[in-house]
Amino acid sequence: MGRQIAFAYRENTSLLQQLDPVTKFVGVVALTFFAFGTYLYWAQIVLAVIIFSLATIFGQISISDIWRATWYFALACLGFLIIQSLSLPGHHPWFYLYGRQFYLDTENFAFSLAMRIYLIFLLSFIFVRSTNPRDLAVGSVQILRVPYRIGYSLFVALRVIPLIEDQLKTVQAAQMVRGVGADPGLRGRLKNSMRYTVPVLVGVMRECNVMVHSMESRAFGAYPTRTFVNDVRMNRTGIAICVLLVLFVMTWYTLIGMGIISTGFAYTY
Amino acid sequence: MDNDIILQLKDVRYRPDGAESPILNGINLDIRQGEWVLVIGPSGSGKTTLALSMNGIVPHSHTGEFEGEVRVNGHLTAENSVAQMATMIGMVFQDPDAQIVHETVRDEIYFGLENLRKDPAEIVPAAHAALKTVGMLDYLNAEVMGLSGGQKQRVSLASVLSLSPQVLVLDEPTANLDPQGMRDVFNIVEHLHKNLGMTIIMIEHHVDELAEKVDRVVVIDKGRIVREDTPARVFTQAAPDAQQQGLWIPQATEIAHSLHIEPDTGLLPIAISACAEHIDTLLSENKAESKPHTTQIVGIQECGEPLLEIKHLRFAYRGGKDVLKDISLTLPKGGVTAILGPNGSGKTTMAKCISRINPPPVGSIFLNGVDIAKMSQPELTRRVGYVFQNPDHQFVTDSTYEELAYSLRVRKVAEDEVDRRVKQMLEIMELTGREQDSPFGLSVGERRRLSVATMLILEQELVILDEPTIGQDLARSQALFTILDRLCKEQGTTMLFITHDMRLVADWCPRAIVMSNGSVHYDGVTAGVFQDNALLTQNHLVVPPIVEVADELRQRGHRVPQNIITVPNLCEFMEATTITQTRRI
Repeated sequence: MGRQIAFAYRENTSLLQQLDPVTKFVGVVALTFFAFGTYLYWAQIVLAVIIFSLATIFGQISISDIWRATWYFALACLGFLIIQSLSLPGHHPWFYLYGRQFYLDTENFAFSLAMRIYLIFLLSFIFVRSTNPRDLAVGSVQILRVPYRIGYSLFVALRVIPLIEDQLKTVQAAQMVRGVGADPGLRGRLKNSMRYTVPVLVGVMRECNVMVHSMESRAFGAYPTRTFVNDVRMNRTGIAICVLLVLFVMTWYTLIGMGIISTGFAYTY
Repeated sequence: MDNDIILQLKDVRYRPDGAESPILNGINLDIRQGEWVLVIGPSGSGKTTLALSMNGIVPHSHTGEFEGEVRVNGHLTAENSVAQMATMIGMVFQDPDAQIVHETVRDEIYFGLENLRKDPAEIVPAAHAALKTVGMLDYLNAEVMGLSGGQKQRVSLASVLSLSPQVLVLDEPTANLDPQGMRDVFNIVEHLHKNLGMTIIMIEHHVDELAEKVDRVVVIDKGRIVREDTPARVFTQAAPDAQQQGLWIPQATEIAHSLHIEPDTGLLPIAISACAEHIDTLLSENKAESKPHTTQIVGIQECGEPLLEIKHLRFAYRGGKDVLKDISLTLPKGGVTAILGPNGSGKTTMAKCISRINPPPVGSIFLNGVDIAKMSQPELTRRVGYVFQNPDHQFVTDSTYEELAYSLRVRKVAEDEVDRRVKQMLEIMELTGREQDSPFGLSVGERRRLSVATMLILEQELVILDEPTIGQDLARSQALFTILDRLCKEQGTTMLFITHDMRLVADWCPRAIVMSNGSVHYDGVTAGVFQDNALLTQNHLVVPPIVEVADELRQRGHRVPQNIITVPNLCEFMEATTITQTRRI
């Protein structure tokens, strides 16, 4: 009956959840490559629209849920955008604001960079939210033929993300009653955050320790292979999506390489 | 090795890397097939490390110096990996949330058998059988997150049982459970022992429920076995100085010892019925002269101004249903009030609303007439303290002294006053001499006392304590409450105490609030809770053993007052009868 953890798998009947985890992982990698391939602001916007649609329409994740999980990061990216806008020189004057000249190339670069960071974070959130950690482990073993011990290390990694979030929220609340939240200003906030680090790490390490002991005590690692009651296989749709995504990224980079698509106002320091 | 012995520890010593002294210091222990052994001992005595050494987690996953040998069914743990030992010895840990690794019950139960490379056609029936044993087959496809603490622990048990181990080791499996969840787990373990002949080794503080069931009790202290015998012998020997030794003993034994009952066998009773029988004999001898006592419970007299007023409080987590449903109550200044109820009843949520960790609606919670929703955060934290279940979450500095000074410095208290108050609190909490130690390096009991001290040093009006005695031994639990009680009386602090421990509630909390399903079902004198069977059943509560003893005495025709809920209460009642007897003589 407690609060809900944002960065955790939540079962639903969406199309995204019906996809195998390997296809989703390929999707995350492909979209990340796409985000890295350009400094065009409109390309980043198009990418953002695609990712939000994927999350809301195909993943049944509400906008408020996305905002709740990513607002902190969105604000950090906004801060990054502002700092870059104010600190980097430019070559193509765009507009004046409060007596300050803003440059098109600088804004394009800063926006693309900030958006890129946010989108990668958003993609990670959608992946965690729509992928059962167990399916990721089993999928990597059955589809990618990865040794199951390695596959399950992905599983543990995905299990740890909500643990960190849970511990962080508890530590924040526990320290708030100590008066830790009272330090004002950016420096104060930074100092406060540093205070969270040790208790969160100690808490996560202790829980992970029990988790690993619990797995080992149930014969995890006793043999080089294991069986699976519920298989995770890649179906034709998954294969088609993977092929399309790989082709799309390859085409995109080929067109950039040939100079047919501009990378935008690539900023040079 | 004797054919009957399934688990053998020979001169086991273990000192972790970086530790000055060994945690296990020459353990010799033989466990026979089909035996149920209870391991008890004070906090930090090495019980958990002993359990971890039984299946090889120590030394395989914990580095340090390990000597001696541990054999399970003849197999040396040092020569086999933990995973290889899984079919011989199963392990259930304290925290079900940390040990369950999958999202659904189904995946959790299949996990072990999949690791053993069993055919899926074999796995499914075996897993279903294990779930049926713990009464959770209906939850096969359920998400783990939606289960109660007790149900999660039953799933953990089933996931181990599915591997058909010969020995089952349980390390405080009920520490986080409500009384009903605890009884469910004990009943299942009893079934495994009685009907399936399983060998059980159990570390537990809840000895009242287990004393009659187990075959043997092993007492461990400072890494050594200091006593090992039948439950009656161990608890009889431990009774005179149980508190000093930090041992929980059955309340029936404690009562008999306090009343100087000396049975012919020389063994104090460990069961409620046996204890009641002895008292019955004593009372019957004096029946003719015994005075009638009131059988009515006197309600709490609301004295002084109210400190906390909650008016029609509702609360829901974002996107969820109401967790708190129209709660209204008033708490007067001073004293300790217990908040009771099953896991998930809303106790912690309400406490977090009071301390504004969960923001309450405006106009729902008032402290001394002031709406807490309108108070500034520094003002609120100056007046309301909250001690979290896990003390580690609250530490913000790297030394014990600084930890206590921090709260005062944040509130701009003068440095000489900080020093005075820190030293005073260190002394009260018996932490003098540990000033420069890291809070994370203190023992469990010391960390708990430090986390409580960081709140009490601010001399707040209201302090909320969330399960402060989990995993604590009797001496430390009683010591903590002695300090809290003293502070209540000296500083007029009001304490709200969330717990499942009915013995502590009876001993220290004159008032109790019972919550269930987000509502308050009872608010009044603690003795009243124990007399209301419907309330107890509906809210998964149990009574302390002394209440059962008193009930049995009433059934035997004695006029025992209803408000007898502690051992001193009963002693006073018996003393009154003895005085009558002396006069008669």
